[in-house]
Amino acid sequence: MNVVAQLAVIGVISSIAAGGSWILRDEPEAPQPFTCDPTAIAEDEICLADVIEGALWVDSRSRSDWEKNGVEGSILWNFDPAEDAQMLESEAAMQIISAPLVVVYCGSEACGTSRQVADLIKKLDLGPPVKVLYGGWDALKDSN
Amino acid sequence: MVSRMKTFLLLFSIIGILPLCAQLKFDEEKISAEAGLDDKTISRDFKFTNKGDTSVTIRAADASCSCISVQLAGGKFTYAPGESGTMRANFEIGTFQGTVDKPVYIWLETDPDEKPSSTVHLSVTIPTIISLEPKSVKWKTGEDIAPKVIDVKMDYEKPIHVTQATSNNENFKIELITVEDGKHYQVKVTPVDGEATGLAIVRIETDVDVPKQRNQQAFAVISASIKKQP
Repeated sequence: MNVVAQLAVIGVISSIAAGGSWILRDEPEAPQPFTCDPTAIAEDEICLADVIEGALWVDSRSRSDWEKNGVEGSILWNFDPAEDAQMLESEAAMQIISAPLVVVYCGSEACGTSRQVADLIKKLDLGPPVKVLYGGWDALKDSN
Repeated sequence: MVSRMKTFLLLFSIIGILPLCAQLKFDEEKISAEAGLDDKTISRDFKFTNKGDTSVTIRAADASCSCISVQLAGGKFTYAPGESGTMRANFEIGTFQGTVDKPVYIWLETDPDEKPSSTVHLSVTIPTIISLEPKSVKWKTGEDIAPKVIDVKMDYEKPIHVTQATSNNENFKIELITVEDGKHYQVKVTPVDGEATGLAIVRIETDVDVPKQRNQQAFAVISASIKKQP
């Protein structure tokens, strides 16, 4: 049997196996929506499902992303050099004092900027608890 | 015939396993850097070598933060076995403060989106030359409206003077006290009406020659007491 024939045999066997799997297990599963296990996240994080009504959302992505699809009622706080850091801080402070909870999110679980913003808000010590949204924008996107 | 089939299956297995052996090995997985006071960006090079047995192609390198851009030296994405390369991470300091640790993820062509095969970290320390402690002073309505103090301390090669301390809310009186000229000041904040809830921005202006740290701010807050239910 030459190489081409052998490859053909392997291709046929693979196709039969794949077809069998499709029939037995139904069609391939769609990508799973973002999930959050409150018992498995860091202490400073919060699952989207646990964010209480009235919480103040802080978007730490870029201004253009925030303007495009930021959470309704959210405020912007990032480290972009084009932003006026003191203005962002003072605008945030005015809203933080009356919020029951502050939740910071950024572009993804890995981006890290939300945690740095959360640390700054904690240092302000203006009262409400401060949490980082587990999954960031990925969690919010999947909830829409 | 059986022998040729065995040989073929062996070769097929090896070909299947090879991509698993393809890997980049970074000389340093974490690089720490200290930014200068006037720096706007800081760049560091991560050197790597393809330690695998086949060529690898870097599909993407991303920091998941708009503050970092990544470049591969010479715009080269494919590396032969044993070949070395350099990835430069450029961190835009912006208004970050303190120590910032940012991961950079590297995906090879065969990596799934959710699992980059390598991660390196760039840790940048941005010096703070004027520190305020605390950043806010707080009172509850009905509480004694005794003054509270914000310490302003300088950590710089030259003296830094506080030239002015003001509040944007008339309900808070501000007094500037020099503890050690050019080194240590106190801003004393006193509420006028302890029953009027509200927030004041306390602006502290200095003469430091680093523009982005020249003006500082703190906060003063009077919030409503939580009254016990009868």
